[in-house]
Amino acid sequence: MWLQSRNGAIVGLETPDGDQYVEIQVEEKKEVAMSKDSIPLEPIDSWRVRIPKGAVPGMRTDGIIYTSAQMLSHLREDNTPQQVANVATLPGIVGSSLAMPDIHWGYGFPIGGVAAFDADEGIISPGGVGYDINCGVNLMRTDLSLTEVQPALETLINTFFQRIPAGVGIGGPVKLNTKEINKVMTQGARWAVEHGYGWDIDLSHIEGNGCLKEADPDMVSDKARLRGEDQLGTLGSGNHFAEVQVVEEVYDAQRARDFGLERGQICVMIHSGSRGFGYKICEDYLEVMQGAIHQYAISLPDRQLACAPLDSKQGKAYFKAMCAAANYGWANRLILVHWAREAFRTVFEKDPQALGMRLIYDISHNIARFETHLVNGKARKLCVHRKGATRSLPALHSDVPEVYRHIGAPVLIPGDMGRASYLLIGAAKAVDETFASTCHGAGRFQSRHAAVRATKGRRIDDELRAARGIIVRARGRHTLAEEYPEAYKNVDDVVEIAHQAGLSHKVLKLRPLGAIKG
Amino acid sequence: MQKEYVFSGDTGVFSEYEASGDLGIRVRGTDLLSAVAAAAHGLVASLLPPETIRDAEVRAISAQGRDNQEMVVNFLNEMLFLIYGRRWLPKHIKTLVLHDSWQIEASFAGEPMAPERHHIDREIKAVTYHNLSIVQGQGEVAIDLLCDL
Repeated sequence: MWLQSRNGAIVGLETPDGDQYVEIQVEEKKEVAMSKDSIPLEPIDSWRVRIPKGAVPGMRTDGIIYTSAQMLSHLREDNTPQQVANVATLPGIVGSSLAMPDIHWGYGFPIGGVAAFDADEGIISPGGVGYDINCGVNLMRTDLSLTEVQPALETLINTFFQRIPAGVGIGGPVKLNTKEINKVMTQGARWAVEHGYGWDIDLSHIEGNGCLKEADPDMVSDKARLRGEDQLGTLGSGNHFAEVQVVEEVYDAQRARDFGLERGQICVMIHSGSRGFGYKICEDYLEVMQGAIHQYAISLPDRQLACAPLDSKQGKAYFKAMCAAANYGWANRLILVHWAREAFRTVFEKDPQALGMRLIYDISHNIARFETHLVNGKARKLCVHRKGATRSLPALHSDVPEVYRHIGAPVLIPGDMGRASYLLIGAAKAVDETFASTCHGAGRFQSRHAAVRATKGRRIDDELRAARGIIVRARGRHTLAEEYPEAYKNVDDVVEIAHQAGLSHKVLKLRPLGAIKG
Repeated sequence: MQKEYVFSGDTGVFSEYEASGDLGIRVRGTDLLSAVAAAAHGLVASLLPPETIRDAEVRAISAQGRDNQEMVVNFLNEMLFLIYGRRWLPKHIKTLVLHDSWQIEASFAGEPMAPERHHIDREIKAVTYHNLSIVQGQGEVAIDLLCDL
């Protein structure tokens, strides 16, 4: 908490322990933080609140948060309205600074944040994408039913654990030299297919065919390449997972059939991103942007919002490097799909094609894209930042893959390892209100420290098995404690808000049967 | 003439604090270098017991900033790259020099990562600017920083 003099100047710091440090020498301008209750949240309707322009100095537009009455109090504790308001101060922002129902605080931009910037006048910010560039999710169907898989579930999860590289700093069997990593950066998921880690048909079931064409390997540092050279096809750690699921509840039977799914059917969901490669690119460009904000005289309420004009050398360089990381992420997730298919082959002694293991879809929830949107009736080219938010595209939208154009693009929302995940479908209202965006997941509810304290002395894997029949394996000693279900918001609540607000529509709910984590 | 500030050997104190989904590190030192040293040691200690790291080799890193915050963030991120990128574990600081133009150079004693002895199950993506504070008081410097996990 900042200590202030009578005229409001910041003169010191008080820690939560009550120690006070009075500043003799102020190093740099610090974040200007309002107290948690002082940012007004004006109800718009049942599912939205507004932070009015001017609530925080420098706001160029409103902030709008999709939430419920129940979630509102937690929102205030988290102080995420401050971050939504901070984003609204950025140059060239078009429309409102938006936040999806799973909003929680992040670095600069909140997680669950969506912001669009004019392609000519606006900025691009690595903080609006996140460290894990193209973190995302995919969902694969199988022809198997619960009764067929249940007897072999433990073997299947153990095989996942053996076959799918997971854990901190764990490299995988795919090793990349300079030439190949360049190809991954420019080809994305296609690289995986061409090297036998996926099927050709998978590409048409990945957002944008799993490749952003603007990628430029020359914009990526040697250090980022070093991080990426042995991490392709690895799951990572933290909240990343590979999970066997069963379709538990169907809300839209026709759409479920369109996806080849019905109740009791087995699916696999994988959550991962661009690994250390993407983290390093984000960090590299945050450093570049610290210089850019001085060069272009951009004043920021939070240094983590560091950015550059989209048409600047730095802005263009970051976008091209971000695309390279995004492509790495898509290749990564497709290779993980391959490992999962091979695990099924081993356990069920059948070819994955014969098991019907088709990819339903792969989506990104940390990315910036150039998109065209109608703003006040005019088509405008915008750079839409989604950090912990998913694209929601309705039927007939030109960016929906051809295979789904008649129904809309799938939206995949992973929950925690104990409760549920969801398949939804894109909605027209999202195009009107949120630059075609919706939520991305459950969002953390407890800090990692609090989660470890709450689970002290408990065996989370035993509890999940006993209470819900869920088998989990994790490499990290603290992973299960830090990631236990109650550390997250209930994804049912988050998805319900998105559904009721019309941002995306529920198709079906998936229940976890078993998972592996890093 | 450029001034240099040479580390006194006082490695300060560090602690972790509660921070939503991520890692908060709080350090105190007698001066800026001491606080930076405490942050460096704190970072390593948050990953694995430093006593499991041998004093086998020496590696150097350097970082630059436009102010103290940037210098500290860049320095600690260089350390993270040493750990996760080069798979080399710093045990303790041998030398630490701060130049006037927010440039910092350090050498560490440590060793390459050995999976049979070193178990890191926490991945720090980066040290961030969020809620970063460097407060210089009477004979003490305090740094609070947040790491993205």
